[in-house]
Amino acid sequence: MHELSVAQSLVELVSEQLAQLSVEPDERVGTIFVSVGKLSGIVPAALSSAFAVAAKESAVSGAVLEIEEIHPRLWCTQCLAERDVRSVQSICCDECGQPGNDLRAGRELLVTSIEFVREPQNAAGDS
Amino acid sequence: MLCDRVLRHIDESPTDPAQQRIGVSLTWLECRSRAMKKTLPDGTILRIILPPAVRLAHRDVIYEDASRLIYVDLQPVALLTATTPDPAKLATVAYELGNLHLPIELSPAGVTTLADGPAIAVFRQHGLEPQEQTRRFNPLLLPNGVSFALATDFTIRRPAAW
Repeated sequence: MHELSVAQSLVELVSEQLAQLSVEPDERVGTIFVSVGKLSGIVPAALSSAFAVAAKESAVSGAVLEIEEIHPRLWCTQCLAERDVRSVQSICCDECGQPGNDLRAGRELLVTSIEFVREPQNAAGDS
Repeated sequence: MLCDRVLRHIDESPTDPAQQRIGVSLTWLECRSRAMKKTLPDGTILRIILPPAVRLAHRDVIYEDASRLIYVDLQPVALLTATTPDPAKLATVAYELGNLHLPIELSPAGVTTLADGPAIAVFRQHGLEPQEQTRRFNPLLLPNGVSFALATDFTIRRPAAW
């Protein structure tokens, strides 16, 4: 269960990006889009729940995490092409079954996008 | 007394002679815990409850007022270190030690783990003779340094003005 420290790194990374922006008072981060490779060793459900804990009282508090899982792909030395991997337990070409170690996708842990939302401010004296 | 955060880190030499420095003796395993109870030499009960993902390290200050400063005193432990110029062999040794659920520290000196019989057997099985030493040990918690990075096509989407 290392997802909590990974979620912490995600919160820190996004917070660093926010620090470089001029965020309006009525803006906040609504959604963080991430890509998680199936060979990254991260369980998406565990990452989501860890993110909720890590984001508390941070600049991304209240944000939703949208996780896109990336299926592993490898360069097949028999097909001479990039192919899907048969499964995360069997790192072989899905077409011909040739084992390979030249992974082209599947280990990603990437933040692809941040989406802001606007929320009306409750101004003092509003009735 | 409640300690719920790491205030700062201190070096070896005290700067304020009026402030008493009290070390709380912790093992490497306790440094991975978020919650624990300790008793100070004067009998004061110290409750440590840390935020998620915060880890204690040697000489982290966890409490400070005008008269006293309480810091983490990480206890030295018996360790084994071995290295080889063959990175594949070193990786195999680290992998097999990991299979024994032993904590591992990777450094230019090689692979370091807690000294015990099964660990010695793993090293010797690969033709390595580990060196014994006793020192402070605080291996990284993050496996493989896993962390997020920004995608090359990273974008920020902002709503139009009201």
